[in-house]
Order: sequence, then structure tokens, then C-alpha cells
Amino acid sequence: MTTTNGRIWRPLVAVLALSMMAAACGGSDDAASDEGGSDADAGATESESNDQEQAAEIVVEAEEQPASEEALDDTEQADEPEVIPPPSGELRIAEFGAVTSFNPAAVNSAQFGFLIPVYDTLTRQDAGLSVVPGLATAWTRPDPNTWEFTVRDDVQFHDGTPFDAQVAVDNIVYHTSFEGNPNAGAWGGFVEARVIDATTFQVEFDVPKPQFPLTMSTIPGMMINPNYLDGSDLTRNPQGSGPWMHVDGESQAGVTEVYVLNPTYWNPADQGVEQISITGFPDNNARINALITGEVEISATVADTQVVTGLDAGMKLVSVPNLFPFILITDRNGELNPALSDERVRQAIAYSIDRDAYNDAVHAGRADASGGIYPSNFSQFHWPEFDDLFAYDPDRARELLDEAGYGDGLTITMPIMPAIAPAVELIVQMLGATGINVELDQINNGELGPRMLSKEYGISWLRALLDHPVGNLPALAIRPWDTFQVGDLAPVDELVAAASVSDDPEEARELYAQASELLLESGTIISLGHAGQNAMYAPNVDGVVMGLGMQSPYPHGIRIIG
Amino acid sequence: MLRLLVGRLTAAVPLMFAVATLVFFLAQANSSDPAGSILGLDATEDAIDAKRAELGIDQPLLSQYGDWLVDAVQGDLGTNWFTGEEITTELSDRIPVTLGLAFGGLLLAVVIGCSLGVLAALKAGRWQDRVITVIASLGIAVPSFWIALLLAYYFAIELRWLPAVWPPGGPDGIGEWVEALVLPSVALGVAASAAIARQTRSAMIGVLQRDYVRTALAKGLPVRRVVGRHAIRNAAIPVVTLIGFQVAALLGGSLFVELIFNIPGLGSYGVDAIFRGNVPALLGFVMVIAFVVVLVNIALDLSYAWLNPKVRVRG
Repeated sequence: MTTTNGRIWRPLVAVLALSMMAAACGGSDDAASDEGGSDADAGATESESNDQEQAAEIVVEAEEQPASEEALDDTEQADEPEVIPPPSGELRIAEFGAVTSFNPAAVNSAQFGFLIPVYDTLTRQDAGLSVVPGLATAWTRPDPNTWEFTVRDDVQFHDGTPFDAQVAVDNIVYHTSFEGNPNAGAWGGFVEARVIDATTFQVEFDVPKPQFPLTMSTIPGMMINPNYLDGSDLTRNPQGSGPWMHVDGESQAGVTEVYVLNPTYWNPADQGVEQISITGFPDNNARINALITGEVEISATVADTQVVTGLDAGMKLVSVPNLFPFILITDRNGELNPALSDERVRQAIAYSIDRDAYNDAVHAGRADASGGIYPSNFSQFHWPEFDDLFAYDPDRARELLDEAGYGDGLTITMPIMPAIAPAVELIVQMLGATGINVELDQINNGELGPRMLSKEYGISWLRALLDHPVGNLPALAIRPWDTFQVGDLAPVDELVAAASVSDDPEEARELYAQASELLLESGTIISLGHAGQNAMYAPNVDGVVMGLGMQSPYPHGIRIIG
Repeated sequence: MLRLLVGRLTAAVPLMFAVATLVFFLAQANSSDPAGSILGLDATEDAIDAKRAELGIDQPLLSQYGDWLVDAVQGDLGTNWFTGEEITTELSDRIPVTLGLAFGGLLLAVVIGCSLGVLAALKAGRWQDRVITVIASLGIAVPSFWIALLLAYYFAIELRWLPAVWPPGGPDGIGEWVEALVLPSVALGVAASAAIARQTRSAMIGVLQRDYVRTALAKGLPVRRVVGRHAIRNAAIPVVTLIGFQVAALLGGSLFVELIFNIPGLGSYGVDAIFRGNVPALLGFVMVIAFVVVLVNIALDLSYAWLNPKVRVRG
């Protein structure tokens, strides 16, 4: 099956991240989360032909060097030996919040920015969102349920301990057995990891995991020093092989983390700066202000409402268009609220939402206000017929409520927490206009996911990080569906499973479309539009790359010019 | 004076106990499950139970309270549920920052508030008095976080005179430390300045109408000397009382100002603790704030004694 060099290999599939709850549990609608949640996995197959395609297109807004000049530069330098300029300067990054732990098995994607300077991942993503080699130089799929990786033989951890296939296997066992691992979904169906030789190992699942190489470019793919896999506390003591080393003595826990150069790093080209400091900026204004005034060089998780301010000030934007805010209705059997068992009521809720107004208010008009699950950037999985599905129609909403016997209105309960308050309050106003009264239940940041799964709420605002239907669609529907045992969306699982093993891309696309339609038409998933995961950086910063399943750019290869 | 000090310190003990008790039980009213929040979606029930046991929240409430109180009396405020750090360590890093911010705001408030108040009293009924009264009303009405946003925009983003945020990694030297606190202190001090100006004006007008002031002026003493030596001191007691209240207000206001300027102080720590339902951190934050307010009020009580000898005699 497909292999290696990510310039060729295009990840189609990806799970890495449903992060649906992760994203939902913290961060405003346009600023990403730093709270709880998990990266979910679907465990389905993907056709080989699809592997050559790219899941989404990344957006970069900034003045770029003309392509012709870049080509000229490349030509001129083609015959000269590559000279790697020495690392220089300090890269200061503003993150949404503080690091909660430096243990990759204990954190979700919101912590990626804090961990990635220290830990190498098995794979990486490039600027085009393709999976490229990291510690692994090649990967093959000997059978649908197994992945085989070949790893570098010149890597050592910060204390000099060498990295090899056995270490990778030990790490995978550690990740899969770590109690409370928020990325447990990514490891769903894990059977075993085994060493083939010093640089080769296999990972076997009981289901096909076509997205596994992409997953290995994110937090689950971070490799820990084997000397610390014995239960050592890594909370403030990260032990990796990455380009920089964490300096606890110069850091202030909960405020700023400081990293210095790893002098023995295997790929000096990644080390563009001598030092990195990452500071938590919980306030959106403070984060963009710090960038504009030159206090930091990169600001992660920039709210859409702040992007224009940054661009006007001459900052550059990198945006991965995979944020999907939506309303999820799980109580479709009416266990908590009988009204929600009526499909007409759920559709009335959908018709009550003015997506254009929502996106103007919450995303400063930068989002794609379409009604489907995938935006137009995901050309492969965007179905135009869903764009206007349940377009704002308050009269139709009232008719449906009347038909369902709720002409005099009804009351539903939704959770609200500080990080998502503006988005939820806007939805409450929209629903109120069609006679749907919403009682808000105040909860803490980070509690939304657990409370949804414990069936305390049957309807809520949520957000997913999209990558591919093979992971997304089951995760959007099935996990919540399991909590209430409704049983009405089993076909979604079947359709996705069939699509994932299909050799015909058009057939797979059609099956995914049918699964999406089921989720949307049943009023299970109500789209609020599609937004980007944004990071902004100063004009003197070069080489910023961000991928799927990440809330921060890679520090690798970044250089400060001038 | 010593007896006064000892008396006030003794009275502070039951007050701190009452604050601790109230906050502890109010925090329990929050129905959240911190173990579930910390471990995430995929945690098993066993893992959540183990986490609850580790945090000690599986114990009866009174037992939790007793344990916390015993530790707190010994200076151990517990461990942060989310970072695993000692709360006393985390707070000790942040206390100087917030005290610096509050001191800056208070200094500004006292200097500007008293000056404007005295000027308004001396010009009572004239246009200067009316202008100052309007400005003071505005200062009280406009919330400090809004002033903070405006200050950051104009003086940091547009003019680039001062930093928009606390320097990442911390200030390099006292100069940068002070520079970073200027805008937040102004944002914090505006409302306090306005309140102090109004109180000073009111008290000064009352004092300036007293017989001894009229006599002093009739004897030909310069206005500056009469005001500076006699009137201000006698008008100061209600102003000092107000300053005591303002310290608590400044510490409360720091919650939002610290977020806007990304200052790693007590305020941002408290906000984070509240939003996460991080009970030990919240308790630690409240206890420190309460302790500071108690200390400030003791200092103010002592200043009454200096301002008014009758207090000293009774003390």
C-alpha cells in the first residue's frame, strides 16, 4: 500500500482529531480550546486511491514572495551545497492558555504548542497538510489493520538515550495504557505493537486505521524518553528528543515556558532560533495586542474577530479551515426532554438559526456560513446541495413546531460556560425568536464534554476539528448516540464503513454524502458554519507551518529575519 | 498604639476564619466534577474515582474542610488540581505583581483624587468644580476593563509609548517592571481617583466652613498654609476610610485588568480558578486577598490614630 515520503503520500484520512469535545470544552467560538476533551478516532478504512488526495486546503493571507522569484532563487541555488544558517534569536509565542502537563499521554491538542518544541513526532505535516517524515522515515500498510514504520537510527533523547524501534513500541504501549489519556480515541482498536528490527516496528489494530500516520504527526505520536515510561511524573519534566529542551528553572509554571537549543539534535535545519518562550494569554485582545506591539512573534488561536486587526497592522495569517461549530442534539429519544424526540422540533431548531448572522457576530463574517458538515475548502467532501439546507426560515420553524404540537412554544435546557458564552447566548436569542425558550445551565470551562457524555444535556453547542469523514462522521454521531442509546443513526456507521473500504472514490464520496445527509436531515447535527483555526505571525517571521489537529504552528524551521 | 495593633490583629483571626469557611462551602455549591474535567472524556469510572480519591474530594465535606483548615493554618494552601503545583508557591510568584499593580493604582488614585478634590472644594460652585465633578462621575461610571482596553489601544497599539502586555518571560529590571504597570495602574486607578476626588471635595468643603479655618484666614494666614496644614488633615479621616474600601475594590478590579494586559498576578489566577472550578486555587486566592485587605485596614486604623489623637487615647 501507500508509503513513505510524504511529498507523495497525501493523507486522506485522518482522524486525529475529532477533538470535537476538546474544541468545545474551552476557548470561544473563534479561539481554540485549552480545556479537556479528547481526540476521537473512528477506526474505519480508507481506499488506497483516496490516499493520494488532500483533505483540506490551507489558507495563508499575507504578502508572499512572487512564485517566479522563488523559482529563480531555487534554480540559482540548485548546484550549491545547502548551507544551514545557524539558529539565532528568540521566538516568543502567545498561546491561549497555560500548559497543564508536559506528558503527551495526559494532554489534548490544545497543548500541542507547548510540547512540540521538546518532543519529536513519528510523522509531521507540511505546509500543504501532507504527512511527511519525522522520526519515521517511511511507513507501509502490510494489511488493512496494520501499519509498519521505519524509524531513524541517528536520534537520541536529551539525556543521550538512543531512539529506536523498541523505544517507539514502548511509547505506543505507554500511550495506550495511560489511564485517562484524552487521546484514547485515537488508539481505539489497538491490539499490539511489535518490533521487527532495530529500525522497524508494526502497530496492529482490530479495525483498519488509514488515518494512523496523520495521527502520529500530533500529540499521540510524540515519543518520550524510555527512561521515563516507568510512571515518572512528566507534568513539569518533559523528556523528549526534540529540537529544544525545556528549562524549568527559567520558566514560570502557569505563565511562561522557556526552551533552549538541543545541541545534539538530528536535524539542525529545524532549529531556526536559539530560544523559545511560550506564554499563556487567555484574553483574545491581549494575545493580538502582544503580536502587534512586537512582544511576541507568533500568536496562536487568533479569534476571527481579531484577524482583521492583525492583518491591518501588517501581521501575517495562517489558517487551517477545519473548525466546525454546530448544535448537537443527542436526546433524540426524548429521555430528558420529550420534545427533542420529534424530528420536526429538531428541524425547527435548525430553521431558527440564522447562520449568516451567527458568522457575522461570532466570526466577524470570515466564516463559511454553509449548512453542510464540510466547507468548500474540503473540496473532496463538500456537497453543494447541503449548503442551503435548513437555511434560516423562522416561519417554517414555527410551522414545524405547530405541527409537532408545540405551537405555544417549548423550553429546552442547554449548557453554557464562560469560554463559549457569546456563541451560546446568540443561539438562545435566535431560538427565542421562534418560540423556543432556552434555559441555560452554567458549567465550568472543560466540563462540557464529560457532561454531554454523562447525559446531563441532550442538546448543546459544540465544535469539531474536521479532517476526514472516516473519522469525523462516526465521531460526530456515534459517540453521543451511544450515550442515549437512541439507535436511529446506525446507518451512519454502516455507510462510513462501506465508504472506507470502497475502491471507487466516487462511490465512497456518495456514501459519505448519504451519511452526512442522515446526520443533518435528522436534526442531529445543525451546522453553524465553518471557520478557520488561525495563527498570526509578525512580518519578520519565516517558515510558519500549521497542520490538522493542531492549535499552534510548528516551531520547526521558523526563522526570524532581520 | 501597640495595644491598638494587637487588638486589630486579634480581631482579624475570626474574620479570616469566617471568610475561609464561607468561601469553602460556597465553592462546594458548584456541582462540577473536577476529576472528570482533569481526566477528559475517555477516562474510565475507575480512573475518575481514583482521581477523586487523590484530590481528596471523595471524603465527607466536613472532613475535607477540616483537613484544608488544618493545613491552611500551617501555611499550606494545598495543591493546584490542574497544575499539580503548590498553591503557596504559585501565589507567592503572583502576589508582588498584583500588589505592585494595586499600589500603582492606589498611588494614582490618592494623588489625583486628593488634588482634584481639594481644587474642587476651593473652587466650589465655580466652573472648575463642575468640570471636576463631571469627570469624577464619568470615572466612577466607566468600568476599569473598558478603560484598560482604550488605554491599550491608544498608548500601546497606536502610539507605542508603553507595552500592551506584561513582557512575556517577565520584565527585565525594575524599569521595565514599572513601565509594564503604568497602563494597568491607570486603568485600575481611574475609578478610585474619581471616588476619592468626590469624597475629598465633600470633606474639604465641610472643613473649610469651620470656625477655625475662617479664623485662620481672618488672621491673614495664606490659603495654602491654612489648607495644607489645618484643613486637609481634618478632612482626611473620611478620605482615609474610603481609601480602605478602594484597596479592596482595586484588588477586585485587578481580575479583569490583569487579563487584558496579561499580567500574571492574583487577579488572573483567581479568574482561572473560578472558570475551571479549581477550588483549592480559588480558596488560596480568596485567602490572600482577604489577608491583604485585613492588613490594609489595620494600617488605616493606625493612620486614624495618627490623624486623630482622640482615637489614640481611646485605643
